Amino acid sequence: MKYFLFILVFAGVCSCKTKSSPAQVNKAKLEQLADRSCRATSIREQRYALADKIRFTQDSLSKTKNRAGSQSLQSRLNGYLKQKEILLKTSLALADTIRMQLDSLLPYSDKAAQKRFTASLDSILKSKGCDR
Amino acid sequence: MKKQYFHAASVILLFVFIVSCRKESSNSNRLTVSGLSRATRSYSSDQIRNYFTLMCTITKSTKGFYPTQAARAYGYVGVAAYEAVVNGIPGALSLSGQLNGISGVPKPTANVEYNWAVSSNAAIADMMRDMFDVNLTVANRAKIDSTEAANLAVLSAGVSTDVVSRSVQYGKAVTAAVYQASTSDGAHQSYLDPFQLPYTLPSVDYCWEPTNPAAPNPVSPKWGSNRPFMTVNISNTNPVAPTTYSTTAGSDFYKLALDVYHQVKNNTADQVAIVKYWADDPFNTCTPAGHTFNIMNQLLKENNATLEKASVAYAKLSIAENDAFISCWKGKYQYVLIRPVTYIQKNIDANFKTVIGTPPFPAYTSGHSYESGAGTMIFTDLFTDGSGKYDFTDYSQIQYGYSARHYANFNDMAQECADSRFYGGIHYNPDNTEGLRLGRMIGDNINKMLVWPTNIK
Repeated sequence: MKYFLFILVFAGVCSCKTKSSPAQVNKAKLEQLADRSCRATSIREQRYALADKIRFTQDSLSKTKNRAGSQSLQSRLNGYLKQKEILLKTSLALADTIRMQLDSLLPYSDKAAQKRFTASLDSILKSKGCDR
Repeated sequence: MKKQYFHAASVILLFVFIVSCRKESSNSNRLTVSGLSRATRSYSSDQIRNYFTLMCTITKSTKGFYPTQAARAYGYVGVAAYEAVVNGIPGALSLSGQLNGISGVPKPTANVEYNWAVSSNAAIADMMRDMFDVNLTVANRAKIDSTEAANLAVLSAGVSTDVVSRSVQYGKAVTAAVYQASTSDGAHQSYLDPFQLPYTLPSVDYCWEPTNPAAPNPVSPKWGSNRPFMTVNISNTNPVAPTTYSTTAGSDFYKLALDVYHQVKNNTADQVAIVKYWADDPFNTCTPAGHTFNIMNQLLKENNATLEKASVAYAKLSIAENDAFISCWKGKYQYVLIRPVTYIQKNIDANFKTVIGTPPFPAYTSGHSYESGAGTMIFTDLFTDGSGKYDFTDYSQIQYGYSARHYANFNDMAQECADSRFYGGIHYNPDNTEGLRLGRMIGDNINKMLVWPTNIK
C-alpha cells in the first residue's frame, strides 16, 4: 500500500511537469521546419527572379515599336504572369504551414532558449546548403 | 490506524500538487471592475493574437489591399477590439470621443455580467468581415467564421448562456458603431478602387512617372484627405520640402540620386538580403503594416500578455499605422517626387536597375520608414523603459524563407527597415530620414496624447 501511494504521488508530481522543456525542441520537428524553410527560400528566390523577368519584359514591351516583337514579348509576359499566380499560391500555402509549425516550436518566453533555437535552425539550414 | 493517516496524507499531498500545477491562477479570475464581470486581464490573449495572425493571411490574399488599404483595415479592427473590452480594464477610457469620427460606441448595461473575451471575439470577427467585405473570398470568410466559432466554444465553456449571448451582442454592437464611423473616413471600400481614378498628376518637371508600364496609375492618390484618428497626426507632420529638383550634374538633387546609384552598384550581399527582408510587397506578404503587426504578435506572446495588454497594444498600433499612411500619403502627393530609378535612367545611366521593383507611387517620403518609425514608438512604450532597448529576434519572415534577424533595440530595427529602401534603390536618403522622423512623431502622439490605462498586464 505504502509503495502504491508513493508511486501515485510520484506520478502526480511528474504529470505536473511541462511535457518537454522549452529548450528541448524536438529535433525531428526542427528538421521538418528547416526543410520547409529551405523550400520557402527556394520559392522566394524563384519569385524574385520571376518578378525581375516580369518588370524587365514590361519595360521592353513599353519601348518596342515593332508589332511582331511586341506580340512576342506580350506572349512571354503572359506566361510569366501565369507562373507568378502558381508560385504565389504555393508560397502562401507554405507560409501558413511554416508559421503554424514555428509557433508550436518557438520558445517565446525564454530568450536563452530562443537563441539556442535560432542557432539550431540556422545550423541545420546551413548543413542543407540553404543560403538565406 | 497509522495506515489510514498515511493514506489520507498522501491523497491530500497529491491534491495539493495537482491544484498547484493549474496554469491559471484562480485569483486572476476574481479580478473584477464592475464587481460582476471578470476583468479583461483575467483572459488569455491567444484568441486576439490568432485574429491578427489571420489578418495577415487575409490581407495578402484579398484583391485591392495595397499598403494603404491594409493599414486602414488593421486600424479599424484594432480600435473595435479595444472598445469591446475597455470596460473590463481598470481606469481605462473609451476611444469613443478621443478619436476623430469614433463616437456613439455603446456602453455595457450596468449591473449585469459580461465576458469581455467573448465580446472581443464577436467584435473582431465582425470587423474583419466588414473591412474586407466585398472582396473577402469564400475561403477567407470561412476562416473568420471558423475561428470565431472555435473561440466561442472555448470561451463560453462554463459561462451562462445569458452572459455569452449578452457579451456577443455587445461585441457586435461595438463593431457596428465603429464600422459606421469608418464609412465616412474617406476610404470606405477603397479596395474596390485602389487607384482612386480619375486622378491627374500635376505638370511639374520633378513629377513621379510610372516605374512599371503595367501600373500606369499611382496607388491611393487621395489617401491624404482621409480622416485620421488623430488630427495632430496630420497637422503636425508636414515633411520639410524635399531637396530642390535639378537635373544639373553636381546639383544637390543630382547628388542624392548619385548616392542611390552608387549604393545599388556597390551593395554587399547582406545589404541585398536586408532589401528583400523588408520588401513586404503586397499580395506576397501582408504589406509593411502587416509585418509590424506580426512583430507585435510575437512581442505579446513573448511577454505573456493578457487580453488587456494585447487589446491596448493592438489599438495603439492600429491608430499608428492608419494615421502614418494617411500622413505619409498626404506628403507623397503634395510633392509627387520622381522615383530614383526614373531620374537615374534619364540623367545618369539609362541601364540602371533597382534591386527590387519600385512600388507605384511617389518617392517622398518613404512609407516603410514612416510606418516602422510609428510602430517602433509603440513597441518602445509598451515593452521597454523608454530607451527602445529590447533583445528582439524577428521570426515573422521565416514563413517566407528568410532567416530570423536580431536587434538589440527597436530603433535599430526601424533604421534598418528605412535603410533597406535606400539599398534597394527605391528611395533617396531624405525620404527615409524624414519618414522615420515623422512616423516617430505619430507614435509619440498616440502614446502621450490619448488617455490609456496604466499598469496593464
